[in-house]
Amino acid sequence: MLNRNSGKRDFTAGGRLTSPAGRIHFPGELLLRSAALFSALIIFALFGFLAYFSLPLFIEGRLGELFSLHWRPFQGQFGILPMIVGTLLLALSALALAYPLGLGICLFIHGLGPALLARPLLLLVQGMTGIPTVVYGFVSVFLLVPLLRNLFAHGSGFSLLAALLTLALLILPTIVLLIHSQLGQVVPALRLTATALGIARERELLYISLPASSYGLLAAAILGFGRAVGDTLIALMVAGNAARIPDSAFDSIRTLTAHIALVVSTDSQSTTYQSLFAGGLILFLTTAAINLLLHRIKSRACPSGDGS
Amino acid sequence: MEPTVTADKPFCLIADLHVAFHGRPVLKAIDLSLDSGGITVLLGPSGSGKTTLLRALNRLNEDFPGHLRSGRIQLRLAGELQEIHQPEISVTALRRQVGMVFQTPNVLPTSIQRNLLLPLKLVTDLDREEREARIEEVLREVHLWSEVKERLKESATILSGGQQQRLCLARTLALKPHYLLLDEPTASLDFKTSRAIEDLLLELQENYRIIAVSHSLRQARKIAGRIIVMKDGEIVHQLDREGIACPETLPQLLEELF
Repeated sequence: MLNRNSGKRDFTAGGRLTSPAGRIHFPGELLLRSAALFSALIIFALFGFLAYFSLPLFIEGRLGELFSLHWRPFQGQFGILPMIVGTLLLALSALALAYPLGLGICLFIHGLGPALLARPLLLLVQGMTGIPTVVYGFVSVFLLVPLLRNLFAHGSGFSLLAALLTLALLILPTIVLLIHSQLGQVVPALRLTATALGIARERELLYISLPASSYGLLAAAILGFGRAVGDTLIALMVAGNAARIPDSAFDSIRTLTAHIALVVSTDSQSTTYQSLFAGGLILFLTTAAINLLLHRIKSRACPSGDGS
Repeated sequence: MEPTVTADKPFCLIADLHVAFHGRPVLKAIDLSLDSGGITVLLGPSGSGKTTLLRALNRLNEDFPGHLRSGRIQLRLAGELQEIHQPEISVTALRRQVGMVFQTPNVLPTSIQRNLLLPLKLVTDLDREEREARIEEVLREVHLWSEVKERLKESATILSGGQQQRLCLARTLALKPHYLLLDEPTASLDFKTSRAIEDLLLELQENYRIIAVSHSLRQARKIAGRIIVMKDGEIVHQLDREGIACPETLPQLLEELF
């Protein structure tokens, strides 16, 4: 045991830029520390700002109004429940489509598919991360939306379906690259063992390497979901933005992010404006929860210290 | 050079084997005939091609990039000598019959029990009860049963180096191989643990055809029924039991080489 792992551990221990006392000593130290402190302060300020402006809603007991189904600002109703439902529906359905696809691509790259195609496929997915979101939205508005409109003859085509298809494409690289990097660590260590036992490559991938990659698999799902919840532009451009709970995938939806963008661009005076802060707070807390969750999983999957 | 061991009923015949990686020759014109007579030990300086020769026997070299081979390898499978590269031979089936244990223990990152059950499940059609019976049998065979029977569900990585290596051996034996290829199986273990593994190999030679790579003269002397000395991708000497027993031959030979 000791022999087997000591090399790896020594490397990690020696790789840290810390002296035995744990303090970092180099010229730019103060600068870096101030930058870190400043960034942390901005996050807290952001949270404080959102909390402060949405506080009246909580204090005055208008939460019921906030979580109502009706967004009629001119009648004093500003329920954001449809937007919350829309956000969840869109993010979950986009994840449900992109995740299996991403996992399939990773398995293809790591040995289910011909090695000749693996590298071009990976390059393609990596290239996708560089495409601006607006391009996806734009192409979708001109190609996907009319196609859905003609195909299903239901509404304008600006719908949950159009948004989820586009959003799935957007979060696909996040999912693929995370699972890929995890498999890239796990597979080389296990493949030779499995091969020498006469286990075929596809079985090794499915029954040995994949179960050993659970951290990456979970992280990909969580980050993919986070990316989907946080995206504004796709929903804004192709989901149709009707502030109501959809009856089917062909109906228009409005997400929280798109809602905030829409209201901010048209109205910044009325009292309903406060509901936006509540929406912002919800998004902020969702993201924070996702990051904390990821941190927890990571510390459980790779406990700090020397383990044994 | 004439092989010292005459082949009356060989279990391994290699003829004019050349192996290269990325155009660099690693094995050159290997001719070899092995018959029963104890453990075969491949001895030689590092880079002499010992591991490549070992991996040629379960065709594991093919999984490394830039691999090129010519020549024939015949192993006794199901009672008769068969060319292992012929298309009718399934490479995964071959590897089950020609089991391999590596230099460093490579347990799977899962429980002790699952390390043994999973390969059985993936490559055999034994049912659950048969699989469980089989793992007890092999754990007893490598003298690990009494040490782990109470904690089969615990992670295999908590075992000591020697226990892990015996677990790897058990995992290979569970597939009922005819051959055992051992690539410096005690290189990562301490002296005492190495001794225990060597004693175990001496027991196992009754039931398996064992070919081991070693870099230790002491070890080779202890376990070998036949020593094959390699240098620069070629076999330079072969010693049978008498040659190994002779106190001068081997040290003299190695002095020339290293």
